[in-house]
Amino acid sequence: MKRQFKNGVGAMKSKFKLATVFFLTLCSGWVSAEIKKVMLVINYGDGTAIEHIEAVPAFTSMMNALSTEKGFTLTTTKKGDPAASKQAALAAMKDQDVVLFANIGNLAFTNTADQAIIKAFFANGGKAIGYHATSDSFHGGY
Amino acid sequence: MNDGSYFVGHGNNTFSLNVDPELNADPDLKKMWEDNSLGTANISSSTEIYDLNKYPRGKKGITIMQTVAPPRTVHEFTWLKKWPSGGGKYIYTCLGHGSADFVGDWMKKGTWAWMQYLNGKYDPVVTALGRPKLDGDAIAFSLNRLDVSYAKPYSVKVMNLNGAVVLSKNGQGSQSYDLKGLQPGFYFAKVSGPSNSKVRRILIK
Repeated sequence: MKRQFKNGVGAMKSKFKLATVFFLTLCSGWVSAEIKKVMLVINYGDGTAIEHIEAVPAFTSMMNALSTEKGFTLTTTKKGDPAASKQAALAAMKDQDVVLFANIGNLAFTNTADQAIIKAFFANGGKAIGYHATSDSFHGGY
Repeated sequence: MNDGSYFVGHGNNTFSLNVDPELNADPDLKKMWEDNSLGTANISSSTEIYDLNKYPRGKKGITIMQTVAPPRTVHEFTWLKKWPSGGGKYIYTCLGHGSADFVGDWMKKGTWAWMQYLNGKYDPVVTALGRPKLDGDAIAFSLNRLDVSYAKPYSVKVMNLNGAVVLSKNGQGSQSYDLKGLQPGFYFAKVSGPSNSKVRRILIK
């Protein structure tokens, strides 16, 4: 009986400790935010040539590995895709946890409708990383 | 460059990207950098370097994260921009031009760390009890999600432009309301506490 009582107290103490740790973690530290959906926008420069193509396989390979390792869904949209799928991809930007603009090249997104989508994306809380993107006010971000 | 920034040349040797003091002054960025052991990045070769005649340092919402170490004359290399409203965030880096930038694991490690930062992993957590004051900071809206954080009991109403209430909830502490189901367009979100109320215009997309 005494042993059972002790076990009961021990279990309660253990649960209390767990709850305390959880509460302290919630209140004073940092919590994880799961990344589920990521979009990779590659090489969207409006010129006819595909720019900096040498970086594209390396970038794609890195992101595919990261996707497998971390378990998020990776959607890729790239120069040369049909216009309809490009528009669909841009429209889906707002549903992503993070968007990566990878080497989108000079004169990317000169289309004003595309620019409006990107502006709205950031104005409504969009999160993105730009790699070697052009340094204008949209892509350099300042 | 189409905005007047100009290309300088290629760095054909290993060069170092130092952590900028501005990053160290930001607790969340600093913690992200330290937790992921990003340190100083030594990038192998052939990374194109831009000299920006529109230097971002000192611009509103910008935090410089990495600079190129001397003797290179270029300066800012990676920075964070926070949008003045709406919660948008953008990390820009000059890395990514050549395949050599991806040699080693720094880019992968850095990318994952930045993704986690942007997704809120290093944001200071508002306590479960919510903020003590019902002010502008207690209400946040992004990606069709309304977040309310207020320690005292409150009611939240979302109204269309005709004034019709399309959502009505009561809450206390930190709550998140998914508004994805609403028709796209502008709405007003009104949060009322015991002593005051706040109204915010939101755009459902």
